[in-house]
Amino acid sequence: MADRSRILSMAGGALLLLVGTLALLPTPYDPAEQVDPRVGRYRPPGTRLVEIHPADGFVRLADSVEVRGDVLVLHWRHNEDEIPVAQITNLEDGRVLDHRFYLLGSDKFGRDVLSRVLVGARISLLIGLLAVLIAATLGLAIGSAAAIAPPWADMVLMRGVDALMSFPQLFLIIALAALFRPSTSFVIVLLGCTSWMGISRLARAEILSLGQREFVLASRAVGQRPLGILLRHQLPNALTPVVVSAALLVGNLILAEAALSFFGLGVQPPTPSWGNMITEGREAMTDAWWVAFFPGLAIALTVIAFNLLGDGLRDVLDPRKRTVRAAGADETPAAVLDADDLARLRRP
Amino acid sequence: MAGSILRRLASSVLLFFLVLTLTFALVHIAPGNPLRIYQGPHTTRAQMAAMEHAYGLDRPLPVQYLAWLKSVALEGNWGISFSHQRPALAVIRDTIPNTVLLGLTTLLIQYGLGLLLGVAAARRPDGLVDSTIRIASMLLYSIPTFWLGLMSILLFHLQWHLLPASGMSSPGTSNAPLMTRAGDVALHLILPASVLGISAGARLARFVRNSLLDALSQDYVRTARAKGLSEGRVVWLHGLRNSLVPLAQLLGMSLPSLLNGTLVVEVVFAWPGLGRLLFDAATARDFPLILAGTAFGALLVIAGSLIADVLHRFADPRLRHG
Amino acid sequence: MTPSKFLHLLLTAGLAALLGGSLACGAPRGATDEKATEATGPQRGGSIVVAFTGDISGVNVLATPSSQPTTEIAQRLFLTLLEEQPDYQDDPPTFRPRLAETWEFSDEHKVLTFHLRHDVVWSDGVPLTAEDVRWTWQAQVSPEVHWDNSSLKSSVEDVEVVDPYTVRFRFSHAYPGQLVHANEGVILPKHAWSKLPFDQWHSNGPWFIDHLVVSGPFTLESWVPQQEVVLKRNDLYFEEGKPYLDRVILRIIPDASSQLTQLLGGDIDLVRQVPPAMAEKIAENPRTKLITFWPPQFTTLIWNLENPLFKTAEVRRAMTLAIDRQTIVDTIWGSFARTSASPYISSVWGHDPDIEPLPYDPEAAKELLAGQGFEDSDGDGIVDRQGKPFRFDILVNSGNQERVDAAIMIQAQLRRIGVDAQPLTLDWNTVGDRLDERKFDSTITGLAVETSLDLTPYFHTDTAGVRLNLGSYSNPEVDHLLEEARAQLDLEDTKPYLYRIQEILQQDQPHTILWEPQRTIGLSRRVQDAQPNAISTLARLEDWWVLSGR
Repeated sequence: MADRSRILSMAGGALLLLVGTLALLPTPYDPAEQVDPRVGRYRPPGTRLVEIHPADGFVRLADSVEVRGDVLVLHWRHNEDEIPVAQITNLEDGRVLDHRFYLLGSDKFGRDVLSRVLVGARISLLIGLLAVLIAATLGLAIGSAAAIAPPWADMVLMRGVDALMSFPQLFLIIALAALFRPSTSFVIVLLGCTSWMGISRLARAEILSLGQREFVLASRAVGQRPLGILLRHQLPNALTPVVVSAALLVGNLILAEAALSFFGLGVQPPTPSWGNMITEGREAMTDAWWVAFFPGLAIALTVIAFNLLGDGLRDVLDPRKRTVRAAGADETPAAVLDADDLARLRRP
Repeated sequence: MAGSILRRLASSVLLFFLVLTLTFALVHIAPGNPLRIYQGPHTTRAQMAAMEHAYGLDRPLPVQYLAWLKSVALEGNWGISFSHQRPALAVIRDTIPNTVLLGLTTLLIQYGLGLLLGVAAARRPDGLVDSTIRIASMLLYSIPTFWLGLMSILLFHLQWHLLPASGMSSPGTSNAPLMTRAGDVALHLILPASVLGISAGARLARFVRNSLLDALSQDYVRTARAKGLSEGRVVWLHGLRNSLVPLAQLLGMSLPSLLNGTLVVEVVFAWPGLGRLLFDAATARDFPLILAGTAFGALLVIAGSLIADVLHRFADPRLRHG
Repeated sequence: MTPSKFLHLLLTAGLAALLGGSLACGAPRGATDEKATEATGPQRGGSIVVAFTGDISGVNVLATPSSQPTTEIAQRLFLTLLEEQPDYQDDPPTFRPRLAETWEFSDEHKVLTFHLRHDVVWSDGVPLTAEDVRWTWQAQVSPEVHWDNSSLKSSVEDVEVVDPYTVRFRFSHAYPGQLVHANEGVILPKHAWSKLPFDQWHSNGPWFIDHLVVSGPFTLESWVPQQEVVLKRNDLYFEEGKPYLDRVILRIIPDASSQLTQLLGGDIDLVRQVPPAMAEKIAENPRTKLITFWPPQFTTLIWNLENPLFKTAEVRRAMTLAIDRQTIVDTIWGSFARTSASPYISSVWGHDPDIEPLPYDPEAAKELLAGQGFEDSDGDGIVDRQGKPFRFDILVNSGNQERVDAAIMIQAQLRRIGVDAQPLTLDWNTVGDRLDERKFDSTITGLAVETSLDLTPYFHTDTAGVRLNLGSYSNPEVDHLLEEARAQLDLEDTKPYLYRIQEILQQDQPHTILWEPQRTIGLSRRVQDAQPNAISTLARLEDWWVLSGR
């Protein structure tokens, strides 16, 4: 049987690898550099501009140039500027030596969209991965604590989780952004600390159900202590669904950062994140589609990659699902549900 | 079973109280001033102080908390909204129909699409149709919702002039006959509900497919097959019926997200729902409105998980008498 | 053709088709509209749709949160004593009769008497009299009502009813703003609204709608919160035959780009503020036109003088010299704003024509900073003094894209002279807190100057509790000049003082003034005789009319 799902997972991994590699590539230009924004702003993809270096150090751009007597005439949009030839440092035989090439166009400050998408990849991946690390650690710790704690403590912990889930998250974010300084690390901690509840439920449910398994019952029968059993048997086995849902959570977190930026609460300018790039591009959607289009595309690709990977991980890691597949079904709800939903479905 | 539900209810009340107390503390500690909306360029400091005093905002926090608690618990009075100048509860109550309308339509689209695609995909697992649906649905739910919203406005409203894209009614129809108004609102519903519903439906399709396959692999389905029932009847009668329970559970759980997940779409499509109301309340620091909104949200979370729980107990025979 | 080029072509073509499509379908209709205008005079009937970003907060402007939409609506429902003319650029404020037919000063300019029209009635038929004027003043200054503008009435000692149509304002002293301040605020219905005690006004917003009677050209037909406000013609309005429009519908559309798409699509007729990026498109579309004017406002970067970095004028001058204001304006606004050096816009009567913006000169800025002891001693690219790097925040409200953009550009420009400025965007309510508590390094904000051109609230050391001298600027000479200017009864006589103040501000640079913005209103061409101005977008709505056929 052709194992399409495995092929898709591999495609996901490959896609992720590609995004990761892109994120590590050197950027063609400084993503924050605003070179002559009057001339460079909102240039469509594939635009090539002449880059003139006058002696005063302030780089100028132009659509085209021509030498007229002892001045260089800069043509840009419908304007003309003149700079004395003597003041230009990169002119040779009447030809300007440098160019600026916007492969994916430029934004409203004349910044290179490609460079910003690449740096944005670093920021967005960093946010997704670090926030998921925080969420998974918190979730596992609290979930397993609840699972082996006495019933009343379990109750308190889980009610606490419920409380946090019904907390007005948007208000929490606005209030915290006002209390602390909004920054990239703030966004990471914020997203990490507000998305662990689902994982904690999942971890608790897994550990509890593992507690009924023969190998755990056997360990208990020979007198091993609960904490020992937890660390040696239950936790390693519970890790699998947690890793799977964590992989799926990364995608959600990247989307969440974008949504935060939509309300001006995400990564602060001028640091590019895909989210704030879309927000900045929104005002010029009809005139300069490329500013918002490419980061949107990047988000979609990355989220797809993480979803495919999450699927794949589950296939490889989860032994029980392999037996299910033998019976004809190769998928579990884990692939399409948040850890949160899943945990609620499995709540004993 | 009744006992366990009672226990859950009791702990839910506690949870409700906890959430509101935390919110109360946070709204008062966070920077920002609910009276800022009354501040104009000519407002003096003395005037602001007098107003704070009139509203009792200059009292110590514990005193304010106890006063608030007393008014809510004993009188059922959630306070007067600062920005709307009428009872906060009434403001929420008036907005709920808009939110429910968008939410229900979204659910309809989500479950319609989810069931259709899910069943189609489950017919031949790993076949061409399944893989296509899998990739397509993954594409759909990987796109940021606000991006999808903006794009749909660009196409359906700006280019093709097919659908309205802003608000829930055409200008000046608030006094039109009922039928005209209903039709008008329905037209305005299509884009926002589709954007929300298609994205959620794509997720659901995977879930339907999987739980259907799960159900079809059960022993009794094999028995049914062995008895010689047609494949169609097997799928529809046994498979789908048995995967209805987890679906219904899912429905219960997604209740709160219908409110929380719609803010971006409400902003993009200018839909006058609860998300926008509470976002504005948050930036205006409209304490009574924030607290009343939080109470409503918490109520939905509690109700949703209670419904899911009860369904779970009904679905699982082992728990039915537990 | 390479694949990437093909993709580019495909996308561009798709988009061009999209935009071209919407342009083309508007053309024929716009053309016929133009012709019809010439043929007919004002016509009765029809309605227009106006887009507002935010909802109104109620109909009683004295007790509801102040907002632009609320004020605009109130000015259509109720009348003021006089009507301030939009000629604020050419000369000090001038007025036309409205409720009051004539007015005169007496008793050493401390008593101002208004003679009211006899033919104005409330919409329930009750005549509008001097009693209403007096009661409105009582409400305006009542400490229980908390009207945000009540400080403007602080010099009014009493308002006396002489007879039903004569009312007398008694001032504590004579000053140039008397007429402006007496006229501030719409006249409210005593007979209808005095039934609710002042101390209950804040908790009963809907009560005023249930008990609404109006005297202005329009009345409220319906209000669906967060959606629309419908105004209906007031048949008892005193101006014969007016208003022309039957209905004015105000749509609440929070998103600026959807406002514009609906204006272009013909769903709405007026957008209050067209973003600069879209202004050309609105101007070129045959169905719409762009109305522009220069309101008395300036957007400015305020330095907090309590911060040791910005104590000396030299440092502040260096900042101004290092900020390329022309490029900022060109990039963010195109032709819809201009650079400025004075709180007075360059076309207003009090503007000193000799004041020119400081040039963009980063080298001079560096020298000024070096003179103040700022050198890059540790080679990290940031100048420092006594081991402390030149680093500060630019506080901006996250909802204002132009200001956020400016902060981003200023950050990049100051980096070139080794100054590390960080944009800090927060929600408006938090920004308000930080400004009130002076917990900021610098902030970009927009300030409006009164038409009397009094700068006291912004630059006087003692701002008497008004919180607008955000940077805590203090210069005894400026204080003195501001006080002298306020002592001149004829505003024309204040000019020399205003000029001198501008010179000193130019020297001191308590602000780096960034630009003066143009207001850009998008209007459908089917709306005739609309004269939006800086005082009110819907100014004289009773004169507006539309060509029939919609």
